[in-house]
Formats: sequence, structure tokens, C-alpha cells
Amino acid sequence: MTLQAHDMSIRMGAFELGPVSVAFEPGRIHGVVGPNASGKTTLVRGLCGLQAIQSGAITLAGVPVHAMAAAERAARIAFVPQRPVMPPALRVGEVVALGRLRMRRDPQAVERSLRQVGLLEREMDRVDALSAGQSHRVAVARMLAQLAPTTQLVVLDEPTASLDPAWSASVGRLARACADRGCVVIVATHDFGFLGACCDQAILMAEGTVRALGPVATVANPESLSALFGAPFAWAHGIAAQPVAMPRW
Amino acid sequence: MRSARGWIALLVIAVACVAARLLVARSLDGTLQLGWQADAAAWRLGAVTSGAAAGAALALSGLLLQSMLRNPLASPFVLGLSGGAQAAMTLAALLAWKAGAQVSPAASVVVGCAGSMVALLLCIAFGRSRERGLDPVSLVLAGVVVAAMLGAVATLCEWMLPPSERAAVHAWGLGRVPEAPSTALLVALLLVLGVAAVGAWSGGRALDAMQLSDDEARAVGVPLAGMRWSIVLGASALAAAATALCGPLAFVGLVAPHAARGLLGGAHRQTVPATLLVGAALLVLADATRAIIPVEGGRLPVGVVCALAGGPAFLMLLRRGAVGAWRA
Repeated sequence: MTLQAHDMSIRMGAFELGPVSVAFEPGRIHGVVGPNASGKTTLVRGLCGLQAIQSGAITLAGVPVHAMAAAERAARIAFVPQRPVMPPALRVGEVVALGRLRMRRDPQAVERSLRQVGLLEREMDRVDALSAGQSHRVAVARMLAQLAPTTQLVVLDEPTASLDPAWSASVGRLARACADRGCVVIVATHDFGFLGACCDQAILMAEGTVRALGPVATVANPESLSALFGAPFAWAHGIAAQPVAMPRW
Repeated sequence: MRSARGWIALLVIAVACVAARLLVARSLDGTLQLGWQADAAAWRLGAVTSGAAAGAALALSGLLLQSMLRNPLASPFVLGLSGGAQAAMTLAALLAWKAGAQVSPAASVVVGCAGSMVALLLCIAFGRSRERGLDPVSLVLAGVVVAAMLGAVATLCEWMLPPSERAAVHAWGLGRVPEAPSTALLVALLLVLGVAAVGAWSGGRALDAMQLSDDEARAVGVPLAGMRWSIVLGASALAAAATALCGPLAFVGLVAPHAARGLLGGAHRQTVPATLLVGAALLVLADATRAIIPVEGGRLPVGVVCALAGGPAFLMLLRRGAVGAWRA
């Protein structure tokens, strides 16, 4: 069930990504970090087939991602965007239920997902009345409702950007649960606490290329992150089981 | 519970609008006729049928456009679909007159649909950028310009017609709900409306998902490209068929979806039938209002009533917060 990118390149206007060749193992959380406009979102969108690629190939368990039909992609890949759109007048429960658009209706799965993100009591509220953080939790709940035995890849783009520390930690636990189901989990993030505490592998990106990849403990060290971001980093203790490289103010 | 109350309110309003049109008419000499008159029943029922069908079609066209484009200002009039249909039909009438022929009702709808599609595709082409996709403001600006240009084309074609042909085209261009509609036009409109309504209702959940971002819609399994082309065709055909029967009418396609969402929420399984009902009721009510207002020298165009009443109705919905925007 490995996700593999072979010489993947993407062009979006003046921006070019790649070529990128990288393999993502199931059961692990892969954190993609890099400065603004380094290509994190483009990379993860390309990996789940939401962005057309210029050249190369991406395969999930041997199946080309860009050749998947809409229903097959929904069955295999779950995605949480950086900025989820909240349509007017739809209710929270209705938006979460859309995760099961291509599956049989399952009100219990919707209820369970809403409980996991702490929004069960808001099920009947309009989504356009929610805060940015709550909207993001709705998108995470929709992803959870979409999870099925066929799901092989879970991609989260900046999942903690609008969340408070408690819900950031919850999203980390949910991502771990997805990995424990045997999914490949990829998280694009600027949250170094999340990277250090929740991710197994780190992919460092700059100017559309992968600069380094490997275990978080070895790749995401203060020296490499300082060089990547042009800002000082230092080891912080007490955030996770092992020291975490964090930006120094 | 809220849904049941919304449906009851909507049905009561719709029945009241139909009753109003059945009980009000204005004779050709300008006399106001109040109350039921058996000898005029066929005319009044004809007007109710025409108005309800055209109003429902414009409303559904507006709902599909708003959902596809995630734009609360999208409507067949604002984006130039009605203008495109009007321009294409007037041009067809001009060419037919020059060739000494007549445009059949079916051909009129097909030509109008092509005009609507051209208008919509122009709006989408100029309303999007490669980096940001569809921009709501750019889309509406493109629509205003496209509608103005197509309006000029329609006016030019109208003025090139001889006076004997021009009067009928001019009256149609101002908007009117026919009491004795062309059977072929009415059948074409009802066919388009039936197919589009069944398609929109059965694909209601996919339409819900389409209102998310492109990435989110694709991620939950919406085949976006196919759905978009279906909506472009459906919204254009609805606008064209309604325009062929009643002329270009403003605000019905804009106000009805917002009113329906305000009453019954945003899920399309509810919004589609509610929008059809609101649109039908609005145009029938506008036609009844037209009949009440005395005007010297003929009948008041229903398009004038739609604009005069639809504008304040939209502003009222805006004031009450019932015009929701797609928020990222």
C-alpha cells in the first residue's frame, strides 16, 4: 500500500515543483515542512491526484493516482484542505455526511466523527456560522466520516493552522489512529510541535524541491531547519517524548 | 420540524399567488376585472401555467449557477444567460425575416440555449484566473459586461427588423407572461424543466458537495468536469426556454434560491423543489401585480414588475442575512 512518486513535476504559472521521487510507507505519519511558497500544498495535492502533473507518475498500492475515477479516489484517499469552504445554509451534520457521498449513508459514522472533533452539539447549526477553527474541525470530521476499510491515503494540509493547542493535539491523535489502520498519512504543516510530537518522517521542502527526507529526529534538527527557513531553531524539551526542534524568537 | 413549517409556509404562499392571478385580470381595453370569471378561466389558467413554468425554470437556473459558481449573485439575468438567449433569438428572427422564413418554437429554444451557453462560458472564461480560479467579483463584473453587450446585440437586431415585426419582438423583450402560450414553446419549457428538476433533485447530494472547494468536492468523489458541463447545459437551456416564452426577466432567478435556502436550508434535496415553488410563485404574483396596475396605452410589461419588486425583495433578504456567501 505504499504511495510512490516517480519524477513527479508540476507547473502552476511561474511556479515549478520537482521533479520529486519519494516513497511514503503505510502506518507512518509523514510531515512536510518548508517556508511559504516552497510547494508543500502543491506536493500534497499532486500526491492525492487533485493537481495535474506535468510529468512522472504517482502510484498508490501500484495504481496510478491520476487514472483513478472520482469514486475510486474517494474510496482510497481522504483529504483535508488548507482552507475548507463552508457553503451557506448547509448544516454541520450535512457537510460531514458529504464525506460518505460515494458510500451508503451512515448517520452513526457522522455522529461518531462529530464527537471526535467535539462538534456533536453543533450538528444542526449552519456551517457558515462557525469560526475558522470550528470550520477546520468540520473538515476533519468529514475526512473521518469518509474513512473506510478501502482508505489507503490520508492527506491533511495545515490541519492545525486555525486550531488551539488542545485540538491540535487531538488532530495529532486522529492522524495516528489513521496510520494505525494501515494508511499512509501525509501532513503539510508549519507547526513544529506537531511535527516533532506526531510525525515519524519529515520531508523538508524549499523552492519546489525536496531538500531532505528521513526520520523526524534526524532530519528535522535545528541546523537543517535553520538553513531551510533562514531563522534560528533550537532543541526544545518537554514538548514530546524526545527533543523537538522549534523556532527561536 | 423547521422543515415542515417551511414547506407549509411555502405552499400557502404559492397557493395564494396562484389564487391572486386567477382572480385578477385586465381586459384589452384596460378595465380591471376582479373575481372568478368562467369565460376567462382558460386565459387565466394559461397565464398561471406560463408564469409558473417560466418562474420555476429561471429559479432553478439561478440555483444551479449559484451552487456551481459558489456565488450568491449568480443568476441567469446577472450573468447574461437571459440576454444571450434574447440576443440569439432576436438575431434568428432577423435572419429568418431576411430569408422570408419563420423560426419554429423548437428552433427558437435551441438557438436561445446556444446564446445562453455562449454568455455563461464568456463569464466563466473572463471571471477566472489561472492562479485563483473563479473569482466571485470578476465573475459578476464579467456578467454585467457580457449582459450589456448582448443586450446591445438584441437591440441592434430588433432595430433592423421592419416596424411590423419589431413591435412583437419589442414587447417580448420587455417581458410578458402569455395567457395563450404557444403549445410548442410551453411543451419545450416543461420538458427542459422536468429533466433539469429531476436531474438536480437526484444529484442533490453531489450538488451539495459541489459547493465545497474544488479539491474538497473531488476528494469526496464528485466528478467535477462532467457535472459542470451538465449544469452549464441545464442552466442555459432553462434560461433559454423561459426567455423564449416570457422574454428576459430579472431577479426571479436571483431571489428565489436565496428565499428557498432561507426557508428550508441549503441541502439541495430540499432546496431544489423549494426553489421551483418560490420561482413559480414569484412570477405568477408578478403577473397578478401587473394586471392590477393601470397603465395607459396597453399592458404593463411583467419584466418591469419583476425588476421593481425583485430589487427590494433581494435587498430585504440581504438585510435579513438570508443571502449567504460561500466562505473559506
